[in-house]
Amino acid sequence: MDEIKQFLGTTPVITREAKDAARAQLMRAMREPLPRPARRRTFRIPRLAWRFGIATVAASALLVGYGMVRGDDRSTAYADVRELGERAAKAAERDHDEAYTRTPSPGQWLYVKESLAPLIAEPRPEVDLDKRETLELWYSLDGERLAMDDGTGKIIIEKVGTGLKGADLAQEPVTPDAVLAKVRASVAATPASPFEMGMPEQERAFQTISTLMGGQPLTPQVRAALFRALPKIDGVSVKQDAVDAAGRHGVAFAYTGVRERFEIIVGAEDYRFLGVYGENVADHPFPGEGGPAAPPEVMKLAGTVKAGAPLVWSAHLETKVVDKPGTRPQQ
Amino acid sequence: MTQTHPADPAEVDTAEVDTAEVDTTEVDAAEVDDAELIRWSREDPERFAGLFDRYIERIHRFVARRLGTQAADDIAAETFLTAFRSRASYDPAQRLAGPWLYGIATNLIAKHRRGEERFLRALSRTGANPLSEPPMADTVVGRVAAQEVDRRLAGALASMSSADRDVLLLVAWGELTYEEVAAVLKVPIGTVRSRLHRARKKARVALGGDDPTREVA
Repeated sequence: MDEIKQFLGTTPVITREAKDAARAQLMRAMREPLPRPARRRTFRIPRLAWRFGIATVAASALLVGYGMVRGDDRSTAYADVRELGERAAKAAERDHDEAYTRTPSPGQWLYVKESLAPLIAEPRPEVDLDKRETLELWYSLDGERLAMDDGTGKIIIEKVGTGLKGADLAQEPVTPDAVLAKVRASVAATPASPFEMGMPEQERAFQTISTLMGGQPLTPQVRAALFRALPKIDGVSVKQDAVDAAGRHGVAFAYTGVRERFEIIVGAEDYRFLGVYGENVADHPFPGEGGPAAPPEVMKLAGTVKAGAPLVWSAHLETKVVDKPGTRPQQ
Repeated sequence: MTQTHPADPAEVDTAEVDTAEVDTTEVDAAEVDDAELIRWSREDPERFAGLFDRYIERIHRFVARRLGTQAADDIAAETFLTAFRSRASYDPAQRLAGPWLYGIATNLIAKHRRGEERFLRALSRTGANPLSEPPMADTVVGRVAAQEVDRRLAGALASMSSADRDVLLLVAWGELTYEEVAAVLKVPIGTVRSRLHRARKKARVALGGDDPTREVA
């Protein structure tokens, strides 16, 4: 008897759902234009700003958790991403927690503390899954600015964000299609950053929703509409078991693009944000000195990031509205 | 070791399909071999879906046996995305794409070594595969015996180097020939033989002397 051949031979075959999802990913890849090299600009972004940009990209993908709610739905299996979106939306609609529904005053900021897998070595964009750093960010509630400690205790503020605000999304009609249309309009009206060059519209929409949900206090109706909008974006699927950088297990909204795949991980029971994971799906070169926005005479390709290389992994630790950047909740 | 493929050239009269002159839209993809599908897909990317349909179940099963079904969902999908994006480098002399796809899947699995070894160690402790359908054995004694074999094999696989395990499982589960394994892993065939020898030896010891890769008529 050939025991090795039979070993684990009763492992279940691929499900119809997984097969369809894989086929859909492949078909999307077939229909999308080939990824183009990042467009080069005629000015050089300072090195600190480049690092800031990387942090922003990472943070924008992880912030879906703010405004997540505690629900009582303990089922952890989802037939598809629509079911995940629907359950999360219903939990959002049921929520009456003041911490998530109160309206902040204009000019306030959202404080976010997270644990993040750091880069292995700049400029390589691959993170070290065995190490952690703590990062504190402050998002302006107008959705346009982000502040962080520059490493010396000085708080610096950068203009970032979607330009969309929670108040914009709260204007009627607040439906999944309506909020998604606003998100897409915002994406279309906002030039791609150096880190978004070649990124498909649907990937930028996914990132925008993440940023909105994380960086803006949203009404329960808006949160519910965004949860139901996520499955309407091509390339978004459910990952049944995802793990954040703190080792917590949850479920994820996952987006697979031409070059990268991101997971927004939420609690499988309460849909609170846990963290984000992202990785390459294909080998591609990364830039050296100067970053992707550096002029040709400065930017040099430093190497290749392999398919499967982790690009971001985080755990969301604390969120609170504060009066100004640099203010921490205990202060 | 018997090889079975859905588009075995022996079963397809490729001589009658002169693709250089044939309007490929009029040829049923099921009638051509993998290399031809890949060649067509360079001009018409959606042709690549034919390769997906032929191999997705086997690639997924191969990965699922190594990493579990959830990881297999992602990795099987990535395997075909990676294959699609690198199809320009496919060697058209290889009429069957199975070895190529198994090689890509194996490279992707390599990024999850720790997960695979945790899974195997857990199985070696319990003998019960949480992913499996109900056991085939129809008696309690049969089920217990099967679990004991699985437990020992899992322990043996966990104790092997990942390189040895790759070779053993590509041969046993992927049904690749030694030459094909050497090609997809980019190692000399002598290396394949030595790795397989070490892997079989460990498996044999785990089973108390029986060679678990030996075919029995």
